Amino acid sequence: MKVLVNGQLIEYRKEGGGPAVLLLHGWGATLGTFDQLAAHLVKTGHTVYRFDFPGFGSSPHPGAAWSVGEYVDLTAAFIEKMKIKKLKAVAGHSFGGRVIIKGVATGKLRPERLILMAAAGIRPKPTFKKAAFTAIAKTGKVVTALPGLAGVRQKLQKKLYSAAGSSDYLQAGAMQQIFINTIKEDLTEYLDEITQPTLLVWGEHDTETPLSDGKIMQQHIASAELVVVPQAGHFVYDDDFGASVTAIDRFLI
Amino acid sequence: MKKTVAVYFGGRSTEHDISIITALSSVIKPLEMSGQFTVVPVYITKDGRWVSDNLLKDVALFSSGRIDDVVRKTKPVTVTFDGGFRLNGKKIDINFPAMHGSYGEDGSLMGLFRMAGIPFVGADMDASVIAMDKVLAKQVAEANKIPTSKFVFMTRDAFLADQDKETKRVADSLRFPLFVKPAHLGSSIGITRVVDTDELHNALEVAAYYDNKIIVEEAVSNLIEVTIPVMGNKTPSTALVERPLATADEFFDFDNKYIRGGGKKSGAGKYTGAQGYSELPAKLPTGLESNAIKTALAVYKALGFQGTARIDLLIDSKAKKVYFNEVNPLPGSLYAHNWRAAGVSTVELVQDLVHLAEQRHAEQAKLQTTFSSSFLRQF
Repeated sequence: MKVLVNGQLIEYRKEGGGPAVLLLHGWGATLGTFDQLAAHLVKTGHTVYRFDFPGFGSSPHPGAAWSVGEYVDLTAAFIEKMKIKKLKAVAGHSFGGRVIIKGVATGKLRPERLILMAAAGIRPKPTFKKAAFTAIAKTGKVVTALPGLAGVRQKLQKKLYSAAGSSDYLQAGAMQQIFINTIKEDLTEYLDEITQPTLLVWGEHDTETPLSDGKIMQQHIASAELVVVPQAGHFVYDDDFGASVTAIDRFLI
Repeated sequence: MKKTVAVYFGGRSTEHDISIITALSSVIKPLEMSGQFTVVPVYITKDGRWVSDNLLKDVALFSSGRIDDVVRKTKPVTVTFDGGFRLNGKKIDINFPAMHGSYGEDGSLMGLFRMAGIPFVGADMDASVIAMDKVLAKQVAEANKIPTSKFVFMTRDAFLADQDKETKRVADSLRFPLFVKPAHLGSSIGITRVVDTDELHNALEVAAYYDNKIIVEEAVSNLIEVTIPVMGNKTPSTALVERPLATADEFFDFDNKYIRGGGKKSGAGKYTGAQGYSELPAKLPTGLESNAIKTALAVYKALGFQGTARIDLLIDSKAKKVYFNEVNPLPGSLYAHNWRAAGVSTVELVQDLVHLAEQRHAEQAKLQTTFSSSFLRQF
C-alpha cells in the first residue's frame, strides 16, 4: 500500500490492532525484513507500522542527496500522516536505528520506548590500513580530477574505496551520495539526549556494527538495557529470532 | 513467401518491463515458430527511443542489463510511410504492438499505424482510447445498459484545488469500502482499497501522484472477480472464464500480477503468470458463467473492440449480479495461458490475431474517406 508523505511516495504496511509500534529497516533492506517480527507483534496485540525508506524497496529514490536528518523528518511526517497519537515503541535495525537515535534526540520522534537492534550511528575509529587507503582515495579524487585522467578516476576510486572497507558504498548505486552523507555522521553525542527506556539487542558476532557500539550506546543512553544474543551476527533478529523476540516481549510488557 | 511482422515493445509506460516479456515470450517466439513470418523486433526505450536489432529477441539481454549498451550503440530506427511502411528501409507487412499502458496500448501507436495505412494487430485507436480511461469505459458501458459498480471521478486539478471538499464529495456519494484508482494506469498501479475518510484522502493523493484523472468505485459485496479474454472482429468469441485468486490485500496489485506469480504452474486448475494465481476455468455458481460471458461480449461490442481484449468483471455471488469493471486492450502475455486452456495454442493465437488485423485493414480500405467537390473553385 502506498501513501504520499512530504511529496514522497512511500510503500507501507499497517497491520493488527492495539498500541502502535513502528519498525524501521536497515540499509539495503525493505519493510519485508520484518515480516516475522511484525507477525509476532500483531499476535501480541500491537498495531504494527512499517515502511520502505525512500530509495529502498518500493519507495522511489528521494531525488536528492538526503542525509539522516531528512530520513528523520520523513519518519516524523509518516507518523503524523498515519495519525499515530501515541507510539508505544519504535524499533529499528542498523540504519533504521540511526534514524531513531537522531530523531528521538532531536525531539522529532517521541516514542515511549526505543528498541535498537544492531543500530548504526557510532563512527568507527579508522585502523591504520583503512585510514591510509581512505586518504589515498581522497587524494586520488584530486589527482584524477586533472585533465586527461578523468577516465581512470572511477576505476581507481572503486579500488581504493573497496580497500578502505566501504563495500556498501560500491553497492549503493544511485544511493551512493546518501550513503556517504549517512556514514560520515557520528551520533554519539545524540545518545546522551535520549531519556526513554531503551532496549539494545546485539549479535555477539556482529561485524558491521560491532558489539562495542552497543556498549557505547548503553553507556550514553540514560536508561538502556543491552541484550547480547550469542552466536548471532548483524541481522540479530533473523539469526536468532527466538532470543531477540523474548527480549523484545519482556521489554514491551 | 513469408510476411514481415514488426513487433513493438517496451515504451514510455509504467508497464514497460511487462511489455518486454509479452513481446518476447508470447508474440515473437510463436510468430517465428509458425514458420510463416519474419519478425522484426522494435524496442522502445523508457525515454521513447526506437531501436531495432535481432539481438533484441533475447530476454537475457534485458535481464542482464546489457540492453543499455545495445541501445547506446544502435542507431535509432528510421520509419518511412512512402510506398508502404518501412523500418530502416525494410518493408513491413503487419505491425504487432505488444505494448501495455501509455503511448502503446492507449491508442497513440494505433493512430500512427492508421496514418501509415498499415494493418496492425489488436484494438483500433478509438476502442483503445476508451479502454485506457476507466471513467470513459464505464460511461460507455452504462450508456449501453451494462451494469458497473457505482463510481465517481475527479481531475487531479480539482482534487489539488480543494482536497477536503473532493474527499468529502466522494465519501458522501459512495459507501465504503472503496477502490481509488488512477483512471489511465494498468497493472493495478496506484490502486488503493480504503475503508474510511482518512484512508480515502491518502489514496486520492497517491492516485493524483500518478494520473490527471482519478476514479473511485464502490467495492462489490460477496465478490468474485473474473476475467475473460475475447478475440474476433465481427463475431468475437471468448476463451475461458478465469478467476484470479486474491491475497490478503483483497485485490491484485502489481507484485501479485507480475512478480509473486513466478510463472510456474501450481497444480491442477491453478495457473500463475501474467495474472498471478488463478482458477481456470472459474468455478462459478449456476448461471453466472453464461451471464459473465454475455456481459463480456456486450462490453467488447459496446466499446468497439476488434482483434482482442480482456474484459474484467465483478460478480456479487449472493445477488447473482455481474458488473463490468475494466477492459484491457492488450492483456499481459496475450493471456496465452487461458487461450491454451481453451484449446488455442499460442502459435494459433498470434496467427489468428495477424489474420484479424489483415481482415480489418481490408474492410477499412473499402470505406470511402475522400470525395471530389467544387469547394476550392470558389477561391
